[in-house]
Amino acid sequence: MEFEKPLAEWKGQVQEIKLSDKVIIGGEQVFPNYSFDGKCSNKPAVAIEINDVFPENWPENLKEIWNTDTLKSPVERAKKAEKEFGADIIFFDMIGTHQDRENISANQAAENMNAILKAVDTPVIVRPDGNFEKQNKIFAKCCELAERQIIIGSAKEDNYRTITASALAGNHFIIAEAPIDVNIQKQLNILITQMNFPLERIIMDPMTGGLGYGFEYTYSVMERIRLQTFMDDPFMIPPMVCCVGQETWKIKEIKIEDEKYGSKPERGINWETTTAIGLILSGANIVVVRHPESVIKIKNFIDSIYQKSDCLQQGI
Amino acid sequence: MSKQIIELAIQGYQEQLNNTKAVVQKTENKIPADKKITFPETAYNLPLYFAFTGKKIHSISDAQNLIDEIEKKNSNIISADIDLTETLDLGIDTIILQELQLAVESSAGEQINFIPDNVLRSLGVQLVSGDISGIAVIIGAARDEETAVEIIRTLQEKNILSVLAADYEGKTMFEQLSNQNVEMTLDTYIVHLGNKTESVVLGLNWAIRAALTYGGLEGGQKEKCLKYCSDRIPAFALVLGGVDAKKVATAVGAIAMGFPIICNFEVPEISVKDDHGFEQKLLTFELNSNKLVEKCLEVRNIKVKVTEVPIPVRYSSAFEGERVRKEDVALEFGGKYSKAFEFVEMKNLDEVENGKIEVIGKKINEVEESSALPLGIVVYVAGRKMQKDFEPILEIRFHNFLNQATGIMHIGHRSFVWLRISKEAKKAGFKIKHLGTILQTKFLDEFHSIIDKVEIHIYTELEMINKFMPTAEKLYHERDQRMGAMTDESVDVFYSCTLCQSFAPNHVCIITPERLGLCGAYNWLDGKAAFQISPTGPNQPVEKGEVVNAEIGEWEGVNEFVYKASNNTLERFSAYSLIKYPMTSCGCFECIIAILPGTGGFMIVDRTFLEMTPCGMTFSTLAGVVGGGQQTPGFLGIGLNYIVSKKFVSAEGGLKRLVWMPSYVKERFREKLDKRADELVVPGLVDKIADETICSDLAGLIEFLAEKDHPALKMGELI
Ligand code: SF4
Repeated sequence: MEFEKPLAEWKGQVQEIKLSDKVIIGGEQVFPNYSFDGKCSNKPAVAIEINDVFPENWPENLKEIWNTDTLKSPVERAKKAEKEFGADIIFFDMIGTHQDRENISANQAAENMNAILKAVDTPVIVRPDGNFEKQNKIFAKCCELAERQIIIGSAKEDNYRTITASALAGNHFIIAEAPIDVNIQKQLNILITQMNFPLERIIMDPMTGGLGYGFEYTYSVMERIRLQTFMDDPFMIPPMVCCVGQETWKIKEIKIEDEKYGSKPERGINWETTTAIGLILSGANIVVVRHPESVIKIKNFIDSIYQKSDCLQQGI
Repeated sequence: MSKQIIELAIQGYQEQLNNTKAVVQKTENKIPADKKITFPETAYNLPLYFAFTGKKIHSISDAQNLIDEIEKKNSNIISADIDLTETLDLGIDTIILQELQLAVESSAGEQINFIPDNVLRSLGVQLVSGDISGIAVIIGAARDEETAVEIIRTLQEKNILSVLAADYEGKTMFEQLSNQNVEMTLDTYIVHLGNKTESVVLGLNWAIRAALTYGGLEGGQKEKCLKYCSDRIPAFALVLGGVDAKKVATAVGAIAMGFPIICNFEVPEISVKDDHGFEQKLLTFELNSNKLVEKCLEVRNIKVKVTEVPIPVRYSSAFEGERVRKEDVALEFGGKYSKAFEFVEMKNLDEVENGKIEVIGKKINEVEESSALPLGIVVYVAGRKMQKDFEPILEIRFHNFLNQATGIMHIGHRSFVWLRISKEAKKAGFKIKHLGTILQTKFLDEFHSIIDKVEIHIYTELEMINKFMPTAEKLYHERDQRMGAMTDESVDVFYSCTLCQSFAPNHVCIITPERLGLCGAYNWLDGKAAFQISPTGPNQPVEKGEVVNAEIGEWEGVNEFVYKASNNTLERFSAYSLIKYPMTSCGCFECIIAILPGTGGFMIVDRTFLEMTPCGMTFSTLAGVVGGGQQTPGFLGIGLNYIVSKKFVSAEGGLKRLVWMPSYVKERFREKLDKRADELVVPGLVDKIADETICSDLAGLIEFLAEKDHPALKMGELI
């Protein structure tokens, strides 16, 4: 008797989003590596995180590889991330807008953003920090003044209206962030679309923990979200972004002096890379990292699975 | 629609037509033929015209053509013999003519207070995000300057943006407010549009741009634009003084956009039924100027967000568990010291005066320190989506709401209430009335989707309480009866709960009148209310559909729902069986049922019981077997109260199969269990059920059952 490959039938599909001519994400019907069941579609994108202020609490070795002077200038960082480090997307995390930090004003934040938008050709994700009131002011300004289409984050369950309205008016993408929770994620997606915002312009941030720091939980929540997508839940189709670098470079294993943990810089890179790879396997479409070395490793991994499993051919 | 209004609208339209014509003719020679006709700083040209037709006006000859077109279209309308739709269309034509006129005037260099796109955006974001709770288009002038200030202040307090337009007998609201030195800027939410009646349209063409910008709509989608305005832009027109024909025609245009008109003088009312069958007023009036704004909010169904509870002590969930000790008491109510009760009753919308809080009897300063007063708190609520069934759900929240104030301690519910106000709270200025303030604010805030109005009466006079309490007692009783009498057969919908999917991804609770959620926290009514309050939340209605098997409680509709909601894993679901397609268990169950081979029955263990049970496992070990959202025949997580339901594992014989349970659970439910045993015609059954004081092992249990002749032994093995 001839063996017949059992095929799972998936009806749903992740929304394909074109962020720029070069960067298209989503569109898959299956998890990566599951090309025997369906179409894998576009490769995940790797984004690099930059900030509006000097990142004081980064580990020294990470600062070194970026060069301290570069780190002082957001524009130089963005350029370096794109041209030298090969970022597909720039993730502009405006930590300096927080009212307890530099308290950068909304107008200044928008100006900073535009400087980045000018400096690079990649899509740019923009995310302010601060209390809701402060964030809302920045959402409004950035969406209004952005010189090209941006991805703005993050809409949350208890603060999604201003950002949604602003992104609607400015024709931008939105990041919808839920605290590692399938239900809240879905509800948030629904709430945003109820304001007439197209689901096709939402990217979900299911929140991430570093490997060993809640990663497992994120992993299974993302898997849940994606299974729901593939099972044709119409509200769970947006692609997902994961902020990996922020979660991994702060953990103690990367900072402590201990011979048996191996070389410090490598530890960080490995931690960042493995976390990112895990998240890609559970359906991440964008991973945001900090170290250039991680970018190379993650891209190598992506290339390898997308070639070996002839995902792309199958898909076409 | 009244004949009088139709006649005025037609006349007003005519006047406007002539007006616009005159303006265009007069301007024709003044501006070059190729000069673009548009408003300044907008991408939408003439926004209303663009939204309705998708077309733009390029030149003065386009303007002329548009006038001709409108005139031709309406050339037959001469009599009052037109219906509501035709009148509304005429209103729309009127505002289009007004817009055209102002655009031509603006292009000719006249000063027009058009709201440019960038202002539209900054206001629009605040509007869509809910920071601005509504827009009042104020047409005309108030009776006097003081009243004008009073009205505008009330609107500001409610975060409503006021746009001022048109005069009444030469007076304008703008003037009145300027004379009173009221600051009029975007930041104070006041915008002046102009003194002519035509200037009203500058408010309307702002609203329509919001539809285009935030509704994702395009020019030419007239119906959709109108619907967006009507559904999502909380605007209304407040007409002060009186009207002439032109104002009427303009107002009809506003009505066509879904914006109701409220006058401060008598007018014939117009109303229609909305999608939910509620009466929606389109034109109405309120003669009392103190109640004018409240009336506007009610008519437009605007709910103002109040998150801060305005009381003199701090308020936060962090203070919920705080107690007020005897020596700190300034005043107390209920407990063993006096009579006290709390009560929520639903009334019709027009029977409740929103915001009213009345205290009848002694006040806090009129009694000695550390004394007690009787207390009755009666809360009347009304709302378009309110239902009688939700009364107990609201009532149960008194406890949680009142406790969050520092220095206030609340225990119990209904007629078993005990409430203390601390000396410190009294010193800070806390009055009995503030109990009402708390309830008022919280009910409107947390239940805004079902409650529109709250009125509160607080009694501290024994006489009043004695008068009221019997009614309250009667209604509590009726409510219990109603809920108790509800059966699964008596309803068509159950409610789902998928709250626990965050950790048990395929788990779904189906909550029926006779079976509560397995955590014990959600009954059918809670599910129903939760769905009303948050229609996108985890509690959804589940249509039962055709019966598949009445005995085990299986329905087609429920199966379909569970299949989808469990991410296509559970194909069949039964509500009353422990063996056939039992409900899954997430992990929050109050107790677990487990079959005991050799007894023909099953045991129950609740989560506070830590010792060994006859199945050889403790609660926590059992929980590991049962949880995770799988169907595990023979094991079931349930809410405690399900034990005394008629549908308790009824497919397998229910209570007759129960052979072991912790003694305190037995005692707690003794009365109800006895009653159920009688109904099952097994009197004395409860004493045949073993507990940990009798045995904790299977052999001992079987011996005991045999000795007591427990019915389960003869019913055959469950599996
Ligand atoms: S256990 Fe309670 S909270 Fe969890 S799904 Fe069931 S009813 Fe909802």
